[in-house]
Order: sequence, then structure tokens, then C-alpha cells
Amino acid sequence: MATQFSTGFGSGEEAASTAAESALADLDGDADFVVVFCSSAYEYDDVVASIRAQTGDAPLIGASTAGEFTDAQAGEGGIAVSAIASDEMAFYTGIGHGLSDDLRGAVEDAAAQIPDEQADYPHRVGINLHDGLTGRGEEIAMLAYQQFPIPFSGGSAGDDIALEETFVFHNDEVATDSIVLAVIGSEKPFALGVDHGHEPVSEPLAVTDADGSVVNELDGRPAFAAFADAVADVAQERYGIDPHAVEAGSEAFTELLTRFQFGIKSGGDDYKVRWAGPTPSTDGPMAFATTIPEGTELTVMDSSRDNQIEAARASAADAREAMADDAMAGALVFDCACQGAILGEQFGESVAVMVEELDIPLAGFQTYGEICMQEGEMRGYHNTTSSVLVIPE
Amino acid sequence: MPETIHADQLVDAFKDSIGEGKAEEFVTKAARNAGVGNKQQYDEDEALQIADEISELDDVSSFVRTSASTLKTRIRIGNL
Repeated sequence: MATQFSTGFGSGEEAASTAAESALADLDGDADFVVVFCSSAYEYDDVVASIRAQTGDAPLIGASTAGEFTDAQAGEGGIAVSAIASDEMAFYTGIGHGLSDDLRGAVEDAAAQIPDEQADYPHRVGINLHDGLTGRGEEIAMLAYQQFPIPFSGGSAGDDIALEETFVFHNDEVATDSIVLAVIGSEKPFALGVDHGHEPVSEPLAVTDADGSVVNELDGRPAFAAFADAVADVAQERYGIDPHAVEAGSEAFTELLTRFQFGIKSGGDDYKVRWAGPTPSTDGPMAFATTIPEGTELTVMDSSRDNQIEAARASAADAREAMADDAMAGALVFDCACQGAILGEQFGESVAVMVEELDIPLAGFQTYGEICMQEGEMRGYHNTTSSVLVIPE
Repeated sequence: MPETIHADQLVDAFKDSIGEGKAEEFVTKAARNAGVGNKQQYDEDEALQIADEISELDDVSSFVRTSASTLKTRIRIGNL
């Protein structure tokens, strides 16, 4: 059998059972591992109970989302289920609670539930799903890597852009303010890919005053004012938005913060993208999805729809090329919610190009932050990227 | 033979989050505090000491401390 990967999508009243049934139907035997991505439109406890009724004791992980998709369907307000069956892999999972009180402790608790025997496999990959509103996604990614220094994929849970409360799932449990870790041990190698479609549109702005994920000043000025000046011309020209006149909470305000992300130079012409979507007002500070230390140089970035779709294709192509001639069973994909916002009804095209590139079953969700931590990377937490994890056949 | 780690590699480990200038400042200060001197290259033990000292610097955030402990993990597994 080696490894089989199958997906199912459901929406409406019977969404959970439909998605699980569909995912299980294509497996030759029982599922050995289940991954669930679920819209905030559902009662998560009911969803998990319904899926577990079909998948039994197979380890289950999952997260609430800001959009979910499979190779067959992309949408919002649905449930995507992936089921893996394998006689060459082992699946280990753990959950940690209380990220806001003790970030390190929560990650250590989740890791402690994963047995040492995972280290016996020649190839391993980690999956990290965590509360998407901690504002400390990058630290969470690093702390998990310290527990298991292996390649990691994953994402920050979403809540359909309500920015109120996000959840992760572990076996029968649904929890907020928590992290779920999985380590998959395999006889064959995994592959990761990541890319973003953003290009710089400003000179670098230095973070001169910051507290955690809140940037108070850029270049010694109130952060939003400095940002508004930096994007004024391009925002007006490309999107008809005057950043000096937008009102907090308006559609234009949301579009401004979604279109224009910040990049941190990570070597050569590469940037890591940072999203300031949680910014509450135009009064001064800007709030990010992860910590931004003082001294960081932020460059405002923009991306066209075409570039976003091309980035999705490139991330899938990277993962496929990394697999070389090895057969692929399926893929898990972590796409930023901002991509969904930028692409709108075209989001399905970004999924379609990944399916075209990989030609295997895949399932994913729109996140509040993506993890793709490959060999040699210090961090691996991203915004507005597509992060792809390919599971070997 | 212990692995040799270039000072630039230590700076690189922090520069994408705090900027190159501050990363250089931290590494220089930490090397001085560790008593290993400012050099172009360090052996593994010296690099680990520098990472430890960065965590102890007065003006670093928990984010930088987490970065320093991640750096130690990477040095130990030879993945820098």
C-alpha cells in the first residue's frame, strides 16, 4: 500500500460527515492520520465528533480557518478533511494549552506527548498548527523547531477574518489559545515549498519603537502616518485609496492593509512578508500577526493578483522539484488569508495552479500566518505566502 | 575537529528580524561579554557562548532570546 492521501470537502448541514466520508472512500483501508480544516461557521466540537465517529482512533489534528479548500473545491464556510493511510509512516501528535500565559511551556507540553521513537525514522517532518491571534507566530515556530529540529510546515488558525478567537483540534479535543504539533516519521523524504508574490514599493522604514507585535513608530514617527506617506502615491494610483483619508474599519482601510504588506529583507532580493492586518486604527501604532522587534527594517510591499497566483504555482513547483523522481501521495497547503482577500473570487485559480503543478490530491486552509521551515532556516514563519508540504507515496 | 562558525553567520541568524546593524551590535557585545573576543571565526563552543550571552543582554526582547536559543539548536545539530 505504501502511502495513500485522500481529501474530502463538505459544506452545509452535513459538511463534516460528507467531507470525512469522501476522504475515507478513496483509501484502501482505515485512515492512520486525519487533518481537518474547518470554517468558523460550524460548532467545532460537533465537527470533530462527527469526523471521529468515522475515523476512529486515528490521530487527528486541525484548525479553524479563514477559508478552506481541496483539489476538488475551494471556498469559505466549508470543511476540508485529509485522510492518510500508510504502512511506511508513523504519526505522532500532541497539544499544548495556554500560549498567552506561557508560550514556551505550551509548546513543550505539546512536544512532550510525542514519543522519542519518532527519531528512529530516516525522514521526518513536523506540522505546527496554533492559535492565530497570539501575535507571536514566529516565536511559536522557533520554539517547536527547538523541540524537534526537523523541517516544519503549518499555519496559524483563522476565524474567517473576525479576528476574535481561533481554535486547534487534537483527537477529540477543540481548544483555543493552544498549539497542536504533529511529527510524521517516514521511510521516504518529504518536500516543502514556499513563495510569495510581493515586490517592494518603498524604501526601508526602521522600527524605532515597538512592543511585541505592535509597532508604535517607524523612522521616529507614528507608524501609521509613516506607512501612509510611504504608500500614498502607489495606493492612489493602483487602487484609488487615499491612505491619509481612510477611516478605520472601512473597506478601504482593510484593503489598504491587505494589499500593502511589509517585507523584511532575508538575504539577496528575498523578503519575509509581514501582515499588519490586526491594526485597529489610523491613530498611530500598527499591529502585526507576529513580533516585530525594534531595529527591524520594514519595506512596504505590494502584489498583483497575477503575482499571487504565480507564487502559488512557484511554491508547488518548489516542492515538486524537491521530490525529484519520488512519487507523491498528496499535499497539505497553508495559504495566507490575505491571498484570499487579494484574489477574491480568483482564489480558486491559485488552488487550480497548485493542483496543475502537483497533480495529486491536496487540502489546505487560509491562515493567519504560514510556517515553512526548511533545512538551514533560522525561522520560517511567513505571511501572505503559499506553504506546501508534499507527502510521499 | 570542532566546527568553525563565521561571525557573519551569527549576524545572519538575527538580521532578518532585528536588522543588520543591531544584529552586529548584539554579536559584538555578546562576544565581548563571553570573553571570546571579536573574531572572524569561532569554534562551536565559542559560538554557543555568544548565543547564551545574547540571551543575557539587557536590552533584548523575548523574541531575541528565542532566536538565540534557536541559534544554539542549529549550532548543536550542525545546521547553521
